[in-house]
Amino acid sequence: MRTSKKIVLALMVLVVAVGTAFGQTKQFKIGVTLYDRDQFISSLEQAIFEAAKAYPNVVVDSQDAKQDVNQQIAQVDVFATKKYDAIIVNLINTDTVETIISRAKGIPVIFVNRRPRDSAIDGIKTAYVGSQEFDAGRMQGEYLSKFFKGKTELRYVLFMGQLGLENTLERTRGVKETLTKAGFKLTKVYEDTAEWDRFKAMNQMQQLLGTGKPFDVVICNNDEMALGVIEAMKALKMDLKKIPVVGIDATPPAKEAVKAGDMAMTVFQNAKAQGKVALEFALKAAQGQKIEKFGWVPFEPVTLENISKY
Amino acid sequence: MEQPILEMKNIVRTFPGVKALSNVDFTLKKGSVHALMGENGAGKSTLMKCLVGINPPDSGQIILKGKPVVIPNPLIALKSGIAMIYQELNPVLERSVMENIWLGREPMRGKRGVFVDHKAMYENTKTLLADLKLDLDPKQKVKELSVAKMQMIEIAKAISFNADIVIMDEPTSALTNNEVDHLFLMIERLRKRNVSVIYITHKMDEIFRVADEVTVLRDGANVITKPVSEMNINSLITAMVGRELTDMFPKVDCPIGDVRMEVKHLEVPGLVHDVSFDLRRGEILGVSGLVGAGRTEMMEAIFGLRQKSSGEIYIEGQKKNIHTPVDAIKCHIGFLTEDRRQTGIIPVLTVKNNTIIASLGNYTKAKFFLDRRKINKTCSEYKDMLNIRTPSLEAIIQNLSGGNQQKVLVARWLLTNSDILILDEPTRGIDVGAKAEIHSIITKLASEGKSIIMVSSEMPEVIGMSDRVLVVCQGRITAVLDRKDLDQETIMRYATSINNHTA
Amino acid sequence: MRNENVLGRFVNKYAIFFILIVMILALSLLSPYFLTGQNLINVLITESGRGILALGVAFAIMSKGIDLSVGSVVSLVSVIVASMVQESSYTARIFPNMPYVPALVAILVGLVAGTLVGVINGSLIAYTGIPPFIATLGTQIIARGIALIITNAYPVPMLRQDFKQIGQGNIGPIPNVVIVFAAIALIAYILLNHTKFGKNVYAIGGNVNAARTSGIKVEKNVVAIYAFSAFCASLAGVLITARAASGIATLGNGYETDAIAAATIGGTSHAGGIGTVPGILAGILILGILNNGLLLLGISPYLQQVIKGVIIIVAVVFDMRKNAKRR
Repeated sequence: MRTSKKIVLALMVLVVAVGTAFGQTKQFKIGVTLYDRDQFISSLEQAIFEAAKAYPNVVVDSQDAKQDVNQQIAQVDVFATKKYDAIIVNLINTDTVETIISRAKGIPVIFVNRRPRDSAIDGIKTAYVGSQEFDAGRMQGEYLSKFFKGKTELRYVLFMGQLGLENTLERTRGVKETLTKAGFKLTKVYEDTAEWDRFKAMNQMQQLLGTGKPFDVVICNNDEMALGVIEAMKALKMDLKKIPVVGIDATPPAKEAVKAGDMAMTVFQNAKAQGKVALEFALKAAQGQKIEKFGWVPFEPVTLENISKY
Repeated sequence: MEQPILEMKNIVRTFPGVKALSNVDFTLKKGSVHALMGENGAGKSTLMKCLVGINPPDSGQIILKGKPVVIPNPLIALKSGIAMIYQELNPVLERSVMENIWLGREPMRGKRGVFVDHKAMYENTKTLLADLKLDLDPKQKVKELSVAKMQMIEIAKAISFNADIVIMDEPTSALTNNEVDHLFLMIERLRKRNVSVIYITHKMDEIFRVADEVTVLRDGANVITKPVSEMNINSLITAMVGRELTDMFPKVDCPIGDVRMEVKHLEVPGLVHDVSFDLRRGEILGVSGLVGAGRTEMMEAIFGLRQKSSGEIYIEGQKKNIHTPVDAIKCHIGFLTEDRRQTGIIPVLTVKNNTIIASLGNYTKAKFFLDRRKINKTCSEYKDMLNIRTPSLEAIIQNLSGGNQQKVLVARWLLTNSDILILDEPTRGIDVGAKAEIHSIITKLASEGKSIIMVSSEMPEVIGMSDRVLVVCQGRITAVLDRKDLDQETIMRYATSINNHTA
Repeated sequence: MRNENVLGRFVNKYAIFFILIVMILALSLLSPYFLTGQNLINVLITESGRGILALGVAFAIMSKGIDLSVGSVVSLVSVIVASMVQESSYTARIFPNMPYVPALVAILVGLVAGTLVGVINGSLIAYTGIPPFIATLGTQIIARGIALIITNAYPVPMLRQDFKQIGQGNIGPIPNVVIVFAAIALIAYILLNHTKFGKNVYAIGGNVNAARTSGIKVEKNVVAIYAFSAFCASLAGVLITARAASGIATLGNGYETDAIAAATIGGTSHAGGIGTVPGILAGILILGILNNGLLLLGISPYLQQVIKGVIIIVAVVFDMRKNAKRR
């Protein structure tokens, strides 16, 4: 009786000891705060969870700030209070970056997808993982340069994302600069924001088409707007082979549209890779290892030729 | 003769479509109390709004202390020494007495101070209140005060501006008798300080108590200005109405029929206790009692607007369950509520919609669409029958006078085929002409066999109109008096007889 | 003098329609594209969704309430209906095992689900006594959440042609959506002016105590008002989804503001009891023509916002003059 009790006790101590040892030395808690859950961000989030599965001692706690800056800061506060090991932040507003870093109270912060000011990150406790937004626009420009080879003037229609955001500005700059460098004279037929929104782009396109103004190309800052434009053009039975519509993001319906020949090209922003790299950066920083200031995940152009890969 | 403090000459003011004032003259003597009378819409308020700059006159001259002045807004009026105390007071309830008095011109610390000097404010207020013999704590929150006290604060505020003209717009409409006495004492004090008071009122008796002079306006014109001592009630009414009112209470004795409604042991916790009475065909049953005696609550319980804890209502001998106004209307009961603005009219809607709203169900085609022709026909019939004075059935009801609004509400209830009409203070806030008209409508309805319950705080009305009177005191019926036994003293005795339950 | 007054009052009374006409005249001069049949039809197509929404919301406003949930109802109905009519060939369907559902059935399910939100709104307001602002704010958030849960924030694209046809087709020269919009406007007009329900809406908004005393079943009417508002939103959700050819969980975000703005510009009073269908239509068209005009003129998107704000304020200030003179 006595011995068996001892054995039980010894076993219990052992279990507890091993348990705490594992817990203390190896358990990593990573907090994630997202600007909102749209399709892209949702798959980025999924990728973080997927990547974390490879490490049995990593726990990921993911929160959605619903486009509310204050809520995002509050979420960072909670992570800091609970002494998480690293925080992955998908910024709502790039102006809050200093606040977020200071509220993290020394915990490493990895920004993902929405790029903070370069001066705010140090490559030790803070870093940025994302794609070069300029490149997405550049790829649209390169595709269009080939498409319109031999032409000198391009009459364009441009639908921009939310005004004032970095990706709106950079994507727009990328495509315009690339086309200008390739020797095209750009003539604006219409240029406005549709706030990333399919239905808004569709309504604006429809009204523009009603005027009968001629144009050669429709450039969109994202796929949703491109799909809206395509709906409006299809309603008038316009030839989408002659007037290319280009988007960015390579969402599933956009890929379907590329397959069907409705959308000339889109640019694949690798959400999965961004999520994965962000998690790896977070883990490294949490362990005090050196990280880079930037983790660049390249964009990839998607056209009818290579659509099967995606 | 001393120069008048204020002269208004040839004042004209038009509103779109209406000439509200046409060539009105008004003269105010220094240190006198001048009553301004007239029916609703006669132009009293408009004239005063011209004086204080809310609606400056289109033409005419204002001479203040011998000098012609232009008063474009109320602030200039105040600075010139003219203060108006409105019928509906608008104090900042959550703030203290002193903060209300000095609102917007708080004493500051230092010469160009940013911080309010609360100590100075307190001292100034104390002096001011003591001066007017008002026993009030400057730091008390205004919301804890009665309406009468709020009025006193307004008066104190006026004095703090060194006003030498104070305008009071129906100041006694929400006061008890005691409070009225106190107000008159205050007016007396103002007069002694050589302040002139313009006193707007409907109530005849008040004029003879406080005023030195009286001006009567009718249809936007000055009818008469005379010392009060040269006037009497009849000459005042004649001046206001423009004709002689032979009979204020046109009561016609008509045969009273069988019992139509019986109320038994009605109980509303804390408000109405064991009330039983009956009501007959063709009868006008007056309900008298002090304010707060539970008369309105009793009627609301009968009509299903207020939950009763026990009690039964029988109509034509049958027991009826009335829990909501819908049930009551099905039993052919109509209820003209006490507060016309709060629970009666729908201010922004037309006369027609206000008339028809309780009986729409009777005016549908295919149970869904409204029969507009039938509605128009009925509404104009009732408009003629009740002599509702309105530019058209499409006029917005809030632009009508109180008396005409009341007539629209009577029409509303007649249209529901009410056999029993509960009228709660049917002539409150209505001018004399319309009052007599409402009385004759009531009499006519009774003679057609309707049963009327008339709750009224006006003793002459109760005595003049009722076949029987229930006297209510503290939620109980203390007496049921027959017409032959009605007099003011008896009613008062029962209305205050707390321990004498006869019913 | 007198004539001038009459004219002035007439202009004041119909100020909002004059503003609309002035805008139309101004834009006709500024842009050759404006006054073409195709462009005007495009404006109507674009505004039909918001217009249907505004007509419904106006009922809530006229009853001295507000309905903040309509935008979310649009989103919710959008994803519910869309998820039932995705092409079976599309691999990333929301419900991979969804059998073939006739478009009409899907629409019906969407309308019922959306209207249910309104019934809940109305019941909360009528029977618990919480303010409409709070009740509909709550359901706004809940409905938005459900839409996101259903779709995981993914759009619901690749909709069947028979469903899209409803939003994209025409009857004669007139697009279906415009016909539905006109029908709802007519229904709203008849409800307000020719039925007991409409009079009750005005009465409840104008003075709820008087309405209750007059034997109006206030609670039941309030439920009906919010159900109607949500029904309109659901219908708008179906039409917009069919036109956009995709269900989107965030489709209606912010629509409530536009709808309330249109109703308010059209003279619907937040103090209750006042509002007309022609006024609301004018409000919708003012917003629509403004957007269209700025688009046609190619004005910088930054400047557009400023111009929009200014014109909205000016329009309402003009319209308010009719009330200012009274009392």
